[in-house]
Formats: sequence, C-alpha cells, structure tokens
Amino acid sequence: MTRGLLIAACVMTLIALALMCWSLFVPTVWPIMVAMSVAQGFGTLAFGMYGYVVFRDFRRRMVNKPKTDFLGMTKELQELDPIARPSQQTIEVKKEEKAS
Amino acid sequence: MQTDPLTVTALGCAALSSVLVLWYLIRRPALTRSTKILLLFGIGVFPIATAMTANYHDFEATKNRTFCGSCHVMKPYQDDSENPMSTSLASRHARNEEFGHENCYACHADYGMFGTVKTKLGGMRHVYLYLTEYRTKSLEEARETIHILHPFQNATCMRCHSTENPLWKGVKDHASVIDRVRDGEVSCASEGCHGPAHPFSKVPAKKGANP
Repeated sequence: MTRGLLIAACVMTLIALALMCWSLFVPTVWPIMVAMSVAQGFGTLAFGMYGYVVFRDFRRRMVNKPKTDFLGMTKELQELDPIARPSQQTIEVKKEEKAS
Repeated sequence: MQTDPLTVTALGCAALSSVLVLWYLIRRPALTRSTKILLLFGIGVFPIATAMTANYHDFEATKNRTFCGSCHVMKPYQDDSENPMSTSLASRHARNEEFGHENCYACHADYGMFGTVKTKLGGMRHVYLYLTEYRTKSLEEARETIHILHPFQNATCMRCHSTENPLWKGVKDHASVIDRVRDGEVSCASEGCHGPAHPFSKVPAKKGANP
C-alpha cells in the first residue's frame, strides 16, 4: 500500500506540474482556471499522500523499535553476546550517573 | 515563449520536481531516509515553488487584454482596442505604452484595499455566465444582452486624470462641471462628454439582460 500510495502521489504530481506549465505557455481562461483549481488539488492531495506515507512509516518504526536496557543494549544482544556487556565497574558508573 | 524570471523559475522548479518524481517511478527504490528527503523535494518543495510562481504569473496574465478576449463574446471589444484606426475611449487607452496591453483591467478593475479580490470574484461570475449562457451564443446575440453591471465610476478615470492638472482644468467643459464630475453626477463616459468606451456595443439592452 505504501508503494502504491507513493506511485499515485508521483503520478498526480506530474499531472499537476503539467497543468501548471500549460497555463504558463497558454495563459487563457481554461488553462489558468484548470491550473488554479484541478492542478492545485492534485498537488495538495499528492503531498498529503506523501505525508501520510512518511507518518505511517515513522509510526511503524516507533512501534517496532526494540526495547533496550539503560546501556542501550537489547535483550537478544545480551543473551547472544555476553562478552559484549560492559564491565561491572562501567555498569556501576552508569548506574550512579543515571541516579544523579 | 515567455522568458520573464517568474516563468523561468516556475519551469525550472517543475523540471527538477519531474526529474525526482520520474527517478522514483522508474527506479522504485526502498523507502529509506534519503528516498524520503528526495521525494520531499520532488512532491513537496519544488511543486509548491512551481505553484506559487505559476499562480503569480497566472494572476498577472489575467490582466492582459488577450486573456479577456479569449472568450469569443469579448472578441469585438478586443478587436476594437487593437484597431489603430479606432477612436473609441477603449482603443485610445489601449495605445498607452504604460498600461495599454492591460487596458480592460485598468478601466474595469475595482480599486481600494480589496479591489483585486472583488475584481477576481467578478471575473468568476463572468466565467459562470459564459459557461451557462454565452458559450453557444453568436456575437450578435450576445451583444444584445451584455452590459456593464454598475454605471461606470468617474473614480476609475480620476485615478489617472486627477482633475487637478491645469491642462485638464483649462478645458472649458471640464471647468463648468468640475464639482459634478468629482461627485460622479456627470459621467466622463456619457454622451456629449467623452462618450461610451465601446460605442459599437451600444444597442438597447433586452429584458433580463446579463451585465
């Protein structure tokens, strides 16, 4: 759906740009009225669709973001690589920093 | 081909936007941060810049006589303005180097704070009438029913002809009616004075005519 929305937004942007350029080359009643109504609508809708896709992507990333401890390490990483854990002294320093 | 900076800017922004959008449509890359930023420019920034410059250009274009004459019922008025042999008020004003190409707008636009907005709204009304009534009418049929909405205001003339110029005051006919002209009691464009701006269009208006 994300890709489909973005493709639709791109196509609508191209249509809007074409209509606006038409009014630049042929500044008569119909091209100007179409550029100021249909083209504006298409452009606004396309930008809205792009904004929706970006917002949805951002929200999905926030929901799926892995939980970490106060050292920024995920539980999986702690279990897989215990050596990667910092020394007890570092942990104590970090705890004191957090408490202060 | 117009080459004013506004048109060039609008076309440049449209071209940049098209390149970015076409790149996405052809390559279909994953939605990474860089793709989002590029699309922000392709769908947002550049099209908005195009719309702003194109709108400004279009608003300016609506002041041109050729724009008014693009509806067929206005063609005789345009032709009269462009006729170098014509002695009508409209034609004489059209020969002014300063605003001649915008003579319709110069005389028919409202002035004041919201003058431009009122004029544009009036223009939309003209478009509506054209679509609903005049689009299929012949020039002769249309000429019988088209007339000015309100009596022509002397204030429009006095924007340029201030009535303070000694040369203007030196004309005996002006001096005798100066107060009545300023109050709008005597129209500059009345018969016996400067006459109607479009004399060829003066036919008795039919009942139910549209201004």
